[in-house]
Amino acid sequence: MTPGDGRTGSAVGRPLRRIDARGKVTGETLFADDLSLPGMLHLKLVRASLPHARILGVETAAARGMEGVRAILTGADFLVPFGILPVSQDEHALCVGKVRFVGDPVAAVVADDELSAEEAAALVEVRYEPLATIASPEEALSTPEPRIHDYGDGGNVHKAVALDFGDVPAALAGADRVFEDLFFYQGNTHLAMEQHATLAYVDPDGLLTIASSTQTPHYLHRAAARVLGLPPARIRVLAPPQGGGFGGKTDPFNHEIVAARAALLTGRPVKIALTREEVFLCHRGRHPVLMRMRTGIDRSGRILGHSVETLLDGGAYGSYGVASTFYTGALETVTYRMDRYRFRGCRTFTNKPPCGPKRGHGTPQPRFGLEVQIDKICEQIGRDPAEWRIENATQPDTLTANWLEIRTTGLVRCLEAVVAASGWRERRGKLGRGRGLGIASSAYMCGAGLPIYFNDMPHSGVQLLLDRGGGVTAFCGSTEVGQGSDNVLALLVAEVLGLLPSDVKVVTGDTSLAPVDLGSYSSRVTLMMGNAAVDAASRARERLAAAAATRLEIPAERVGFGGGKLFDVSDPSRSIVFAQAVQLAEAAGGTVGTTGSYRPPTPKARFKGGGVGPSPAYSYSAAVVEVAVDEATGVVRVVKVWIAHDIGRALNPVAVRGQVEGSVYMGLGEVLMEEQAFCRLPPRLSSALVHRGPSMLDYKSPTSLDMPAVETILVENPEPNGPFGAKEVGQGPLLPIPPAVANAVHDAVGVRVDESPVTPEKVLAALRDPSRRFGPTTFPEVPWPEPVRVAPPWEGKP
Amino acid sequence: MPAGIRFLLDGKVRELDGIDPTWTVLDWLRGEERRCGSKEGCREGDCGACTVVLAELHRGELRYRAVNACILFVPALDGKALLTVESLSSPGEALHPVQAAMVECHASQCGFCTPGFVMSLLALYESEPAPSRERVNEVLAGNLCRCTGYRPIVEAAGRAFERGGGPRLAAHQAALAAQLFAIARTGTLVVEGAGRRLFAPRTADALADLLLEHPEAHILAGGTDVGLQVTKQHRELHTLVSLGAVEELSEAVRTRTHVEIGAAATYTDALAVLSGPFPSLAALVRRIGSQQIRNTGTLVGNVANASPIGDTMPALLALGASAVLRRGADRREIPLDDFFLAYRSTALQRSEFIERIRLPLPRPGLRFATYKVSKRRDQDISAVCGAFAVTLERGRVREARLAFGGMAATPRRAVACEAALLGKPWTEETVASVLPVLDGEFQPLSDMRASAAYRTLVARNLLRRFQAEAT
Ligand SMILES: Cc1cc2nc3c(=O)[nH]c(=O)nc-3n(C[C@@H](O)[C@@H](O)[C@H](O)COP(=O)(O)OP(=O)(O)OC[C@H]3O[C@@H](n4cnc5c(N)ncnc54)[C@H](O)[C@@H]3O)c2cc1C
Ligand code: FES
Ligand code: FES
Repeated sequence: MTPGDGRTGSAVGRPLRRIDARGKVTGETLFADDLSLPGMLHLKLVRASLPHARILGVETAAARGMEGVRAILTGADFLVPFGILPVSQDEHALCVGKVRFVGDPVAAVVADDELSAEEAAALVEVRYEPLATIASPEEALSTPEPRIHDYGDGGNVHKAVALDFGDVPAALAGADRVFEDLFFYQGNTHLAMEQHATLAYVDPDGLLTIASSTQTPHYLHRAAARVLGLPPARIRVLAPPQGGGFGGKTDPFNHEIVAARAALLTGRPVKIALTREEVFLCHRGRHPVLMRMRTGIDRSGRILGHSVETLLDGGAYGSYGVASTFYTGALETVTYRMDRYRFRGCRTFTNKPPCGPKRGHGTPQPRFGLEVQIDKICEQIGRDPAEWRIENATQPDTLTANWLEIRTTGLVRCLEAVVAASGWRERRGKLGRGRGLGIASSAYMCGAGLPIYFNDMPHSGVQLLLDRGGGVTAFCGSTEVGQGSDNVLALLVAEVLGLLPSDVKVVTGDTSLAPVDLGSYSSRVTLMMGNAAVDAASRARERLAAAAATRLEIPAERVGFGGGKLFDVSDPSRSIVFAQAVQLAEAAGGTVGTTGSYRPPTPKARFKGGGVGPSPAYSYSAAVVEVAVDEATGVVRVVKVWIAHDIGRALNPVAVRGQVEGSVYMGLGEVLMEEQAFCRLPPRLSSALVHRGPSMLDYKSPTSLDMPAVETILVENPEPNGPFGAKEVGQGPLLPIPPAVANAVHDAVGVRVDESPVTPEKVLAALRDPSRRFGPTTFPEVPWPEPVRVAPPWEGKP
Repeated sequence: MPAGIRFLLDGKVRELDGIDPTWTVLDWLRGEERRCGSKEGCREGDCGACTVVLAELHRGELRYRAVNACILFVPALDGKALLTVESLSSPGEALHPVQAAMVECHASQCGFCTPGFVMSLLALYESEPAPSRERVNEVLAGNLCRCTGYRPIVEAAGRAFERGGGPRLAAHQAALAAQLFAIARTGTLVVEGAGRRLFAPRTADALADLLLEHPEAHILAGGTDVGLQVTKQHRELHTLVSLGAVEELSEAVRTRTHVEIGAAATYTDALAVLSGPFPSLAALVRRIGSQQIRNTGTLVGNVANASPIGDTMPALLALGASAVLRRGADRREIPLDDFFLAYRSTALQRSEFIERIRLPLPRPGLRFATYKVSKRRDQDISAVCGAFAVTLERGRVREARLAFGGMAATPRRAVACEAALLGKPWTEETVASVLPVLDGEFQPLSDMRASAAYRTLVARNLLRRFQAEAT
């Protein structure tokens, strides 16, 4: 390792290997389902077979009588409701009173082994009184009764919001041209390779431990304490490394809480591992969203007014839905200048597995609409869509119409980079029939400006322990879902202390041993945990520098860190090794442990609903996609993707590239094939509304053969709010992919598929339709509330 | 010869007796052995997270094949060596070249898919010295990764091979072969437990006898359909007769007139003889399932399973294949045209099994192609599968056999359309003129894979494409 100048370390910016790589290739990494304890019992949930029904009775006698059955639980054991958002505490670990979707858990069986639990579960009989099923948002709007929940904004509307930033109707009336389009973005699911699993146990001192595949141990901790009626200090939540999350493990889940109660009840460790089918039913994935967009432009193409209406199919529970609803409007303004902005969002309850956050939470849907609409506008007004984007891109250090604060932006550089790399100017329109190029750009947040429950505490905390042997251990409640957050933590601490990431041990995903980090969601970890880590490490550095300064007899400012040593920057030959510095510091001032924390700046937006959207920083992406469309079958093949991402600063360029490529991959899956879709069973089979194919056989995601070449360009433009200038990369690069594909299909064969996924069938249908379009044609009447009116910054105060 | 299942794991002979014969290898590994490196991601052969490698003696040679442990029944291990990710390295020891390359190339993010990828690559690394990029992709397509976008994994494969060094396990090959030889079985394996039983005979005669003796038995070939029936549909299969160990049925050969594919020949085995005479069919077979599925599933099983969307049947029908059926000592050969009776119902009688499929070699002047249309390129069920064989004489159609999957309750030929083509010049116009006849021959269903309208349209377009390509 090269010591550098001692002022900055040598970890940031290098393509170092991940600290946790070996365990992964040897299969030694223990995921939740790999954990087992002596005497462990197994838990199975009995799930609703009807989509909407009152529970008249749960007969458990037959199951109870089976050999090996240890306990049976029902809704009566879980009367306290929970939910991720304080405003939607609408779930019970086991249903109380009624079931709301096929798969809703009604009872639970605990038995000696999995097979007995499964067999006994089949013997539990639930008597139902069926209720009318609400299958779609349209039905939810037209069917106020029966209500799926007795809260919300009336009937089966969960949440309806309206925000006006300036008078958009007036702007449209004064516009040179006004465009109106309808789009539909289909729901899809995370499909993390690891299925959820939980192991709960009570240790001899009565501490309840819940080890679970969760991205948000802190929120699970809160929900479990609430439902189980235990003081939080009596519960420890562990989040072992996860086999992918993508947002699918950010809610506290019923099975986690049931397992905990079962462990308390039986005094034995209790394990539950969901099947793939059950994971499809847990869902919390991308909301299906119907959108209406109206955009008015002036002669130069500038957006005078933009209006977005979204209708979300929320499924059976609240989950993150209120936030999701706001997110379908919040980031619409961050990429292109728009003078005025109007947003209407409505989330309805339906009798389907609940939707929630998936990579890009609520923003890929309107991003699809916006980017495709801009493509259409450019086509109509004869502008190159890349040029238009460059010309209209938002500028650094500005506010958007809805009061979001853009500090740094690399959008123009991203656009220019993909235009150059793809040969956009030379090649577009010249590829011949069946081949085409499409472009889109996007922005995403680096963590939400506000926490999920209101409080004034930090969003992330890091504690460091430096031991006499020179070992450094970093403790943080963050969770490693595969994105590499453990690695970022180690890397940043190492950077400040002049070490290598592999010199730093990390203890994460543990609510007892580590300070709170709110969780792996919202692209917040690198920025928030990262800042907390730098904070903690800087304090440790101060103490070590002071101790070394005394020993080396130089002022503390002259102490450099690097290569595992502390040295005189004016004469690097004078040095002490890191362990000695720790010992000197310990002798001088006691145990060397420091803490660091991070709380994002207070958002500028000061209106109701302004809590969703603000972020310490925004990342930007732009992509060009080349497709080949087979007009005989409608099959779309993606030939190549060029993507540029404004990362602020790449802490580890290969890890960043990995996140970009993974996002591109997921975006391609969503736009080409993935859909979480439902159908009604035939009447002889109860007519229940069921998942169309809760298996990987039916839910197709891309394999290596479907993946095109991806050229990734990292745009570095350090962000003052980010640790060493870094911004997020886990979610943003997904966003431009779906619209870029749709735009490329248009370029290739001249049809518009205004709906995801762009399946062969829809392409063929559009090719045969005189309108040359496939997509939604109506947007239902929605009872919008009275809007919150806020003038854009250039028209007044918030 | 002991009755129990005998196989090798990490150099040791393991014996399992009295077990449920439908216990899957994955459940045994994770549940019983607590070897948790093999992961469960779907339990139905789709994700590859459970990939393990089987080493076996095949005609005296050692071969390594990646398979899905989640749908493989434990008795299939009999006489083989099982390798899991744990077999590759112990803590502190050097990594296998494919593992080392995975680390270096950042080919693992969450790592849940990683052991499966390692095992798929291992089988390739140990069997082929310098596979093409295409071949690597083909092998990896049976492993899903939701994190990486695959590029780093493909790159890791490249790096492992570039660095060379040859098969790593080669050093132990002779010892392994000797051990396998020692546990080789001559008689029928019988596994009984949990109220179920399985027979795995070694000869076709024994197989025929067992089926006569147990007319209620279900035949088990590669188990890629049967395995799912057990793990997903929870079908109760009390008696199974496995033909996987009948060596004489594992032959896939080319005679002077035919290609003959035995009932125990896997897709991988069949590919070796199909590639020459039937490149288009071979290309289609390479897209069935995944490498893991092709290493266990059989072409004959695809036919016997008689799914309306099984991929090989349209091609076999178009090429005029026949099936040799055997019941006891009786054999009969019937054209496949007469084999599929109705939805999932075949001409097979009780105790009868398909011994092999015979495919006549193409005669001069035959134009043949088969196409599969599905959402995803690999390992996806077809929406429509079409196969066309046309013989021309001086530019006119002398014989035409057009067959489709996904268009009716069984794979079926479009006989009226075939008749309409006879004697006509083989032109775009002719094909356009017979399309209405084709439309009239099928009333496909709408389901989640495709709508009826889409299927009808694609069936037409495939025929037009064939005409354009086969002139
Ligand atoms: C993940 C996955 C992907 C797949 N993808 C495809 C695909 O892309 N295209 C496709 O067409 N198929 C696909 N399949 C199904 C395919 O693998 C099977 O149809 C396979 O060919 C069946 O062969 P098998 O040896 O596994 O049969 P088995 O599962 O052992 O048997 C299948 C059926 O045939 C009967 N049978 C088997 N052999 C005989 C015999 N000799 N005589 C009489 N009856 C017999 C069995 O009793 C059983 O009913 C897929 C399966 C999986 C699990
Ligand atoms: S667990 Fe998915 S293929 Fe076996
Ligand atoms: S690394 Fe996460 S699924 Fe492949």
